[in-house]
Amino acid sequence: VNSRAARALAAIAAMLLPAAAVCLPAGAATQSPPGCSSPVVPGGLGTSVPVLLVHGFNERPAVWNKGTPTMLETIDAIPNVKAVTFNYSMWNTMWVTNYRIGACLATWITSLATTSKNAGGPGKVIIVAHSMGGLAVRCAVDPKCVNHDHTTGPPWQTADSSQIGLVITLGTPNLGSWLATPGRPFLLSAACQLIPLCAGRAKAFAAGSQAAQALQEQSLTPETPSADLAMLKSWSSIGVPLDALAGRITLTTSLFGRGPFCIFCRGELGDGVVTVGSAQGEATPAESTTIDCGYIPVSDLSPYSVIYPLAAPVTLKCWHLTETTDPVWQAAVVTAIRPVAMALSLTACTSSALTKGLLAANPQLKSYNWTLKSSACQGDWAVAQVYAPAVGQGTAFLRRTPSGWHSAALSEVNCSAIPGPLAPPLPTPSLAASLLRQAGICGATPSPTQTSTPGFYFATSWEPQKIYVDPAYPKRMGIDNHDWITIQKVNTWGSDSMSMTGVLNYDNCQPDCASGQEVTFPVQVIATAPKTCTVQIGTVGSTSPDEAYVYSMISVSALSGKSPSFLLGNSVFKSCS
Amino acid sequence: VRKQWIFGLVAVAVVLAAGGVAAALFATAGNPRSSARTSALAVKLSSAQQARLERGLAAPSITAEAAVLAVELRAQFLEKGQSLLPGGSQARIAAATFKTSSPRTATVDASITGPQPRRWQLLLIKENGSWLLIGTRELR
Repeated sequence: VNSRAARALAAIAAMLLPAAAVCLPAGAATQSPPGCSSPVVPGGLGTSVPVLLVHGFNERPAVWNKGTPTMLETIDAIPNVKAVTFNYSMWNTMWVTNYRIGACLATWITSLATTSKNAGGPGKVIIVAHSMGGLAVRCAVDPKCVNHDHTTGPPWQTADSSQIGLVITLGTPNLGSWLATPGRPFLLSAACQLIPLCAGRAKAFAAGSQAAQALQEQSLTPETPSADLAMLKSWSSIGVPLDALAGRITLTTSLFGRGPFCIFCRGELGDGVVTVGSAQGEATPAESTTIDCGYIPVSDLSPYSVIYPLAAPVTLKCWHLTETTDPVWQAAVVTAIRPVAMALSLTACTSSALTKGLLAANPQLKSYNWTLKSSACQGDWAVAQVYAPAVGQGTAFLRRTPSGWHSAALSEVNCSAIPGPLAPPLPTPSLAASLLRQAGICGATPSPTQTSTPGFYFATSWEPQKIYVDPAYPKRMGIDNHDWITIQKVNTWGSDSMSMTGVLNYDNCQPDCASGQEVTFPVQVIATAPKTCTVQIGTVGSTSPDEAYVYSMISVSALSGKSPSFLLGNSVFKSCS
Repeated sequence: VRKQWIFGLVAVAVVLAAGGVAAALFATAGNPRSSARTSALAVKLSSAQQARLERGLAAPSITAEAAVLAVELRAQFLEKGQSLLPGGSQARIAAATFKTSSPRTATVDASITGPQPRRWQLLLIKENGSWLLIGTRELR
């Protein structure tokens, strides 16, 4: 008890120190819901454009790994792009307001965008969402939807639509699904019988899960969404670039040798689950793509067929459950991603993007045999130095804009009076000095910002603050004077993220904290979003700030058991901001 | 010995009864359409419906022909503007061949006489209580 009291006093004393306050949470900050994992990009994200794949109702991320090639392979083959899959398979029949879907997706979008920006990438995510995955995106950008299940504590983080570069939806039931709707037209049901696996999907809807109920349409003509669906934020109010892909199967028939006549020509059968109208929702014609999935002759429908089941089943080119594996759909996704990824790449901190910005402002460079000698980026600013034998060196600052890097004319830099005579746009003097130093133009050698592995740094009011560099890691991470995490092992330590597993020791404070019981839970600690920032190193409350390249976000998630939610998420430990 | 005989007979009877019930259940579950087909077979095409179809198929105007088509087809049929059968054709439905495969679907054979005599199977759908044409299949 004595040691507990001493620890408590020490904690209070530490909190009173102004320097420690620098590292404490900033008031009304948002937090992540407990149990959300963090995106891990194999090999690191670097300056690539992150593409987040979100599966649908009753599905799992494996849908992106099926087919030859798989959707994942197809997307990863696009230059400057890296695909990551979001997984809510354990809750895939729940409605998107379930925090494991909408709220966790929001943290993934934010985390990927932040990691991208900190790594010199465009800081925007492209999302490819199949079926209900598109509705999860509509939820993730809406604070009301994200916090639907969350009533106490700071609100959970909502995805910022400005961090989304493009959303591609594949058969997303924006108005619901006719297959989930009882009392649907007889011919639609008969058509479903002819599509392999369609009956299975109908059964999954009929099981009456939370999502299946939300996906029931109030009326099929005109298509009217359920109350749950109508509550989701509309695409137009979200305001992100959208490409809504819809599949269209039609029924055909002939009359005394005349025809063919088409039935459900307006897309009422859609992709066998979602009508064309529902998949395109309120997307404009420019944002909508309809893919022809083929036709079913009426004479093949089971009530009319001579032999049933058919000796040779109807061959459709696609339907709802092949949208992630079908080559035509994959091609449509690539067509949509490619120009956006290319445009986003121009905003990344890459030599080609900076070169483009420099050339736009200095077209005369083309006539010289010039090279980009050095460069550095920080936030939305960059500095570049070029060299041409005929004219010597020139330096310019560049500012990141949505269309790429914008710079002014090149000039000589005066390192003793930064930013010296350099032309606008100009960053703040301290940022200018930092950039010039990182690029090796003025003073010190280039900073290892985007090349070395980040260190692990965490700050609480309890522990001495220190940077751990691979392979050293903290054996114990104190949270407060009652609770701590014992780190057992480091699983990965990469350029974008690191992950450790350990045991959370929690004081249940029953009957009071001094005589409470220690309860343990296995947990995972994930550090992401590396960046160069100010840290306090040394003893508790050190007042000697230093710059270091460390992970800036630390998140704790439970591996099993019901650990208290205030000891989970990304606000338990602070790194630098 | 007598008791054993009685027990034996009872056991055999129970096994046979259970087997019968299981077979009946299996037959029903295996083909969900079988019960519908069995009961639907009893449904007949009324003479009024037959006459209406025969008149409509060989009607002199496209609008009158469209009245015997499934609602889903009418707009397209009228748009194409071609009549179902060449002028001077007659349709005769063989009501005895009328078969329902669900409460809302049926097939029936028809002979067309006139400039292009042929036999067709009519694919019918029941909409608002009327049997309407949704497709045809040529019979050879």
